[in-house]
Amino acid sequence: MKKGFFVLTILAAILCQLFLPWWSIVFPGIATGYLSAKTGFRAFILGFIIIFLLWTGYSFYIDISAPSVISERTASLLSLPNKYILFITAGIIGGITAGIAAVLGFLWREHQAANQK
Amino acid sequence: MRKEKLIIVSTFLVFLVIGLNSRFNSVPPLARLLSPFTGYLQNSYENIPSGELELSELKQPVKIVFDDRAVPHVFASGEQDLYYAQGYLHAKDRLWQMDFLYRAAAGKLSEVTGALTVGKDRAARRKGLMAAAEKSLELITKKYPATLAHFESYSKGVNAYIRNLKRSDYPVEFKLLDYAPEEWTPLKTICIQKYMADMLSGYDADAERTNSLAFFGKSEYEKLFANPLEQSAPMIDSFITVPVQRSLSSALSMKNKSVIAKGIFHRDMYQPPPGYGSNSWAVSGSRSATHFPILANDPHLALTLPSIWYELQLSCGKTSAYGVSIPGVPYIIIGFNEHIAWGITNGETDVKDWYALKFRNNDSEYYYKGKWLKTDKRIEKIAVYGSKGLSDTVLDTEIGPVVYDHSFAPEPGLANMAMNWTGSIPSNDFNTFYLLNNAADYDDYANAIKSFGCPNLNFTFASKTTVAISHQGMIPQRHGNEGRFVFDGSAAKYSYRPISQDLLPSEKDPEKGFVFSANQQPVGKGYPYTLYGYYGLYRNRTIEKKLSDKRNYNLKDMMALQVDPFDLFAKEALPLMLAGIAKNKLSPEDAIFTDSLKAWDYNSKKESQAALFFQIWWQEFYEETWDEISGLSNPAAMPSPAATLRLLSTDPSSNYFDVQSSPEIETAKDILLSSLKLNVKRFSDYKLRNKNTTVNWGMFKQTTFNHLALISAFSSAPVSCDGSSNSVNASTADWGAGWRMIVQFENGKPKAWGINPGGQSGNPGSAYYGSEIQDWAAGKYYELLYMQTETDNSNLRRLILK
Repeated sequence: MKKGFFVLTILAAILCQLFLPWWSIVFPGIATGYLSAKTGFRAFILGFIIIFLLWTGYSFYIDISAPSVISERTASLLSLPNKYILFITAGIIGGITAGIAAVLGFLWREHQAANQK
Repeated sequence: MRKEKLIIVSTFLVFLVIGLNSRFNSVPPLARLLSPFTGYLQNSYENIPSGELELSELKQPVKIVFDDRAVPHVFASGEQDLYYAQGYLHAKDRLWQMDFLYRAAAGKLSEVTGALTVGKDRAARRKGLMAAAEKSLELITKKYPATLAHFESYSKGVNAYIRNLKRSDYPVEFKLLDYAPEEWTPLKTICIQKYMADMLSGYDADAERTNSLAFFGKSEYEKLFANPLEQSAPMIDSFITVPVQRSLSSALSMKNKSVIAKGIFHRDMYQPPPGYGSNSWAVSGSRSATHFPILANDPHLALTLPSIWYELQLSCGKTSAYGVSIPGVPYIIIGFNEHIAWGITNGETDVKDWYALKFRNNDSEYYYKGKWLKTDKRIEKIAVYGSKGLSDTVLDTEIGPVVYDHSFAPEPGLANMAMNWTGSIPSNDFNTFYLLNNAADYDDYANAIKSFGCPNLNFTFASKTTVAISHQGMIPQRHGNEGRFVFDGSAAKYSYRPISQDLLPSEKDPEKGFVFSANQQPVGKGYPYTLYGYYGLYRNRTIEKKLSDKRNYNLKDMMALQVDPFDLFAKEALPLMLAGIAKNKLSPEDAIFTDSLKAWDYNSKKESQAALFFQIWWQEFYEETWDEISGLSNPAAMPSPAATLRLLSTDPSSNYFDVQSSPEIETAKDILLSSLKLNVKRFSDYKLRNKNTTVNWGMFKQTTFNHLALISAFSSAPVSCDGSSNSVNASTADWGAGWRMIVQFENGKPKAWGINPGGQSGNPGSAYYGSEIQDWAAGKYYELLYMQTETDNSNLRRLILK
């Protein structure tokens, strides 16, 4: 996958989430799988990485730019040891959702390709 | 094959998204909460707006200045705009708290929290708090158009904030509990007042004392439950007697026992705790260093986060009031303006009575005033998150709602208790605060407090020239034992007659040079009515002694008195307890314990070990003494600690000291020694287990500000602080002064100090959430910024609402 495409997908994911609910991450996820993945596994990894980086990265960004005890409090609420694990958990949850969406995108393309034959 | 895979993966994705978007009992909607775009992280930002905000509902622009403690100072050109801005600010900082308090009154907590709060909801519904609020709204709509207009402006301000709120900006509790804020209305404002009234006048022990009366018998009961006046320094020493008809006194005295309901009463439902701890006093100019009066007030309530109080300055035209308000309610509740300062403590006079009723024909009729009358059945549908919810049938009678019916009693027919409570009589208590905010002198104050109905409060007042105190509220005229027990609803005629306004206890500029209240007995000798309540016995005497001590008081003296840890109960109890211990029965370890107690100065300081020893020893001794009561299957009231001390000094070989579970006959000496030895052992075991921790009173007490919905991650960390329930600084594990304020007039101008430990913000992510707890625990104060005009302090952040 090309770097440009990767950046484009992240931008699309950011745009979706600024205006739509969190689950809009499935759209860039599907697009990733549909447009670029060679195997289902690679589709999952790609979708996962994009949203993992976005959610965990943005979590760290907010935590640094607007320091607040809310992160530690929420970590303790969810019985997690600290806020860093919380940011990573967020990334994993978003990542899995987007990864599965990417697998869906990949399968959809395969399905279309098979129908065209 | 590909098609099947496609279907399987899409189905899985749909379920995954729905699963991560939904709440499962205590598990919040995970992905929605954790997404940095919409979730908890969006609550990291401080919500102190500046610049201009177009809301298009104001007559004139409103200027708001936020000071260093995030306290807003509001400058409006009219009252409607002023209360609109107050609504907007309350919503900005406390929206979830407002919704939660309204739900607590309306019995709608379980709809959002789940099965845990069903008991609280049921209690609120059965007491009819909503019906009481509706009746008050009707009265206000008909007779007080100005109040209604303020409520409507206030609601508009709240709703303007809600309207402009994005989902990602919701207070984090809405995100966790997965619901959305709803429109604010004047009725919700009144609901919050009824909730406060229920909390402050909600405690009573009528049923438990009726059970105690049956258990002890009349003469023992009178001995054990007497509340001698000499144990208290009343707010007002003497009252000029006015001849009063005592027509009911003989009918309802102890001699005529038939009116006290027979039977054992069982109730098992949430009851607010007795609200002790508040203090307020004012010293007159002749006794103050500035030659002008000084007023101090520290209202004690459950220590919660968000703080129950919201601090602000409300300026409009001629008057400018500063103080604390209650989220959900316009006006300032405790505070001062250019001319006066006022404080409040809970009056504690019992205004909630219970009547046992007989029912027949499947509860459709009840016997009252010699006739069978039809009951009104009200069906309360309580929605419960995560389950089907439940329906509760409440019977309404002429006396009031049957709060406890046979669904609460192990034996049917014994516990049909109807509640008669002054809180269900419509009143416009809000008018008191509106008028106080705008009062200029004593006459304005006296006129303002007349509107206050329920609960009963002690108001303290200071102006530049005058100090005063009043025990204010709707208080039933009582004689004999009225109000102390459950009464037989079918045996006699009862009608509620309030004590008239001119006969309510009040005092202006007394000769002693100060006025004070600490939830104690309101009047000493000469008062024509029996005032019965759950009055405190100790703090009042400490305050009286301190204020009578020396001539000139300054600000520092007032601060020192508010945080004074001297425990008068300990001073009265400990010598008696130590005298009961025979030296030759003490092991060396026991002697360390008693020696430390002998050297103690009765100050419940946080670092004191003796304060801890005393508290745990007393508690154990008290519980062992009244083991005959705690062993009963139906709850009965225990004699008070003060009565237990009386028994210890006058009759140490009394049967009550005998331990029920042992074959030997114990006396007070035996259980003093056994409870001492038990605690010495507990203490040394604890020290063995926790080698590196210091064990002292503050560490043991662990004062904690609990989150309103008991979300422990949003509660404060425990703090170590001075005080015990019988010291002026009555901080306990979860109860204490949620606001401390001292106002003095200097050269004719008010100057004030205060602290709001819970802070201004209701957002657990804010630096202003619980921000003053550490300073509060250390007994510190901040000088309050009383702004003269909106152009002062140009360095502060400003917001203009348009």
